[in-house]
Amino acid sequence: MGEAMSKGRRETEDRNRPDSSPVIQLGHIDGKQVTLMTGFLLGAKVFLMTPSFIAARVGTSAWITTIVGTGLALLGLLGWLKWANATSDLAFVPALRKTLGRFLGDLLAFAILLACLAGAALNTRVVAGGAVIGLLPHFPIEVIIAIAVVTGLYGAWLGLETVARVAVVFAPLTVISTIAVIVGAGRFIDLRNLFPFWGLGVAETIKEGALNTGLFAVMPSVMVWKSYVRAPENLSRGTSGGVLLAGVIVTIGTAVSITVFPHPEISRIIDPLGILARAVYLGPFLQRLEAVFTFVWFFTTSVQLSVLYIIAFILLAQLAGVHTYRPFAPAVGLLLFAGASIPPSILSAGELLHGILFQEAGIALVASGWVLYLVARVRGMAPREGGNPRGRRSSDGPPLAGKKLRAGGKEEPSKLGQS
Amino acid sequence: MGRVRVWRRSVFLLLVLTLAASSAGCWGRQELENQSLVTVMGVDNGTDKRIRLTARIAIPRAAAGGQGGSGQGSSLGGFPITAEGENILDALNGLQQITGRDVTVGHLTILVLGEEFARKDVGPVVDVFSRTLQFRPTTLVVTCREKAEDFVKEFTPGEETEPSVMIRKLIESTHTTLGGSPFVSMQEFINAYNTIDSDPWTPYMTLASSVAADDSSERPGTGEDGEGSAQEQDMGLGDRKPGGDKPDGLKVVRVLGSAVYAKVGDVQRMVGTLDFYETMAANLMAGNLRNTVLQMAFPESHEEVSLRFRHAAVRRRINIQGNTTYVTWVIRLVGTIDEIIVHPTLEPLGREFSDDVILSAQEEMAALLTKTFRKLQSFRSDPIQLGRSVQMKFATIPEWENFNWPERFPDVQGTFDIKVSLLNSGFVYRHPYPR
Repeated sequence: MGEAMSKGRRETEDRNRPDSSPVIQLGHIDGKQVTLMTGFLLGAKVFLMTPSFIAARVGTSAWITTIVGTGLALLGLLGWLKWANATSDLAFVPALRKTLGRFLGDLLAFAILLACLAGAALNTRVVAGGAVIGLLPHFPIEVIIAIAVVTGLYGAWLGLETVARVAVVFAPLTVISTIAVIVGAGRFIDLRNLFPFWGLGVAETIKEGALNTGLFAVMPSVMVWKSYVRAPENLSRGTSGGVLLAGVIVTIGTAVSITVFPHPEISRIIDPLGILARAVYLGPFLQRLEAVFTFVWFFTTSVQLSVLYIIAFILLAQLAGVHTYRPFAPAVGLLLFAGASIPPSILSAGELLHGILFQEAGIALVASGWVLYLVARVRGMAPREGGNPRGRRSSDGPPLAGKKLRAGGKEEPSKLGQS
Repeated sequence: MGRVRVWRRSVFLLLVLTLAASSAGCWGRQELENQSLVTVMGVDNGTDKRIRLTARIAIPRAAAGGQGGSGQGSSLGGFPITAEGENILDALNGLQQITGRDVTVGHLTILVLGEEFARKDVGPVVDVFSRTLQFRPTTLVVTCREKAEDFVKEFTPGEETEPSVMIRKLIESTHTTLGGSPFVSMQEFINAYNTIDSDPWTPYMTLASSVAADDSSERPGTGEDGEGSAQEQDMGLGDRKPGGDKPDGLKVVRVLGSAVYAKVGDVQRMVGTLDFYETMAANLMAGNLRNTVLQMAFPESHEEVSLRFRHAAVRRRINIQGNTTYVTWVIRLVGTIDEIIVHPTLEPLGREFSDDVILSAQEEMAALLTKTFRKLQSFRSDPIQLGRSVQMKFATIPEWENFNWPERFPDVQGTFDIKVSLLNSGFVYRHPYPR
């Protein structure tokens, strides 16, 4: 009885979902899953080189700059959400096209796609480099890159809903392992290292904080989920919570890194949390505990990669106007493998990420939400008031709500409504 | 359709098997029995090359309680070998050439710096610890008075089967129960090496006979200014036979206090030593003291009192005026009188006696702290991390760096506000006296 009611409720929610062509169906996600996936997408970088790069630029106030950056990113997210609300009956790329026109809309979609692919490739390189440095010194890095790409692709192949569930599973594991590292290496933490409070200066801190908005470069890409959330409010609540979660994770990770590695020592460290994991000591012959922690963080990064891949697939599918994403998988996989293999070192991959993508390019992407919203308002695309659109407008093609696409792009009846 | 499904399943199975095989460590595996596990490593100046490295290789089966190896290795716990090189890894490669197994420092627990090497430049051992994967940040650093080669080769692990375990426990116990030794890992050493707000220090050790000396704690070490150099030479005099020979029989490790480092010119090097009590005072100033025992004498009444401090709360009040820093250590100590030796005819001790003990303890502690702080200032070394507290008074890093703490530290005006509280005096009210 309860199950039947639950199915009935889900069916109603599915009907209320903003659903439009040419959106492929990958399953549906709720607000908490959006929060966690956004958190993984934007926050997992703390396990890599991010704290070092920020602290190297601004010193002891690095953790303040991440707070400023998170605040500005939330502001940028507000613009994206307002735009998403104004175009709530359309999928991401069609909404961009409607707002900016076909050419500019596709151009912006390509820019976001490029940010996702570059972020995924360079993150893969950094993770693989960290694994080689920290765990498997005799292991060819190309094999680790291939494993990371294949793992991420496999997650993406299984679908958005599967990746979301995996994110839910690995979220507590990631948090527990991180807390274990911080507690285990707590002897090295000295809060006095957070001073001088303003680092290289108040102006530099604020400027760096503004630049750190770019850390959320791939944040706009989560708007592709507007077609996949169970209810429209899931998107705003989920992404806001996710950005906030990521901001808290990055801020805490950066602050902990500085308390252990005082300025300017932090600027020499490539992977502070990785080294912190090496500082957990249980006994003379029990010293490789970092293998356990980095093993868990490897899955954390794999979830992040899966999320990035699936967003890339959705964008590609929408840009190409097809109803399936799987034909893109091999090509995207090879592209990511090549992109991850090109940087000659972990440092160069980090510099590409933090010198370009996570700075000016990221800021432009985050801020473009407000531009889109203003253009949408000028063009008379008013925000939807209350209620959810039922089905789609006739101009967007036949309604797809309640139907599900198979891998080959053929429609099949949704199982959600079957009893 | 069926063929496609079979093909897909085959590809998936192949993928899973590939992942399982490659992620299980089958690639580049390293068997434990093919490795020489270095647990204690000593560094000296080389004769032909820059570095002379001595390693004590662990013998796991001996550590596990079974039969050890043969010859010297079995009696000392571990197998010592020496090689020279232009740097640490070059010397490790030299060790590799004389051992049958792969030399690995992944389990290195103790790094011993010979004093002669430490007084020259410790830079050569710092970089490799933060750059090479095998070295770990948790490795403890010590400085020994003799050549590290002699120290590493000759000490016996006492109750332990693994030499590194003995030294680690020795450092831990002297640090936690008496406060007479710093507890410094390589990460902390590197942090202090690489920042201006503190300087490195390490436990200072020597080879000794198994009979503990009674006079080393009273003999403060000094820097290189020559003052008291005779006393410094005598530090740990009880370790040696009157003729100056090395002790015969079992050679154990003895903690003398701490070795203090500072930046001199372009290099960071050892500049002096603190004796056991001074190290305790330095630990107290750094806020790292947990327990210690203070011996106090009352010559007029022939009393000897052992006062055990069980808790220390330390706060620094810092005031900066111009280029001068005024620091007041607000120290609250809680202790107990653990032993009293009094004249047999003395009357039962009363309230006045406790007040006298408290007053004397406060005065003695203040004198010891003042003496230790001035000694550190004369070394121009800040191992007590006072700079880390002073930097909190500055808003920005440029302001802090312009203040030039290493130059200001010798001029710091330090005072001590000490209050001692006694919790109890044991299970008895009065001392025993003969009837």
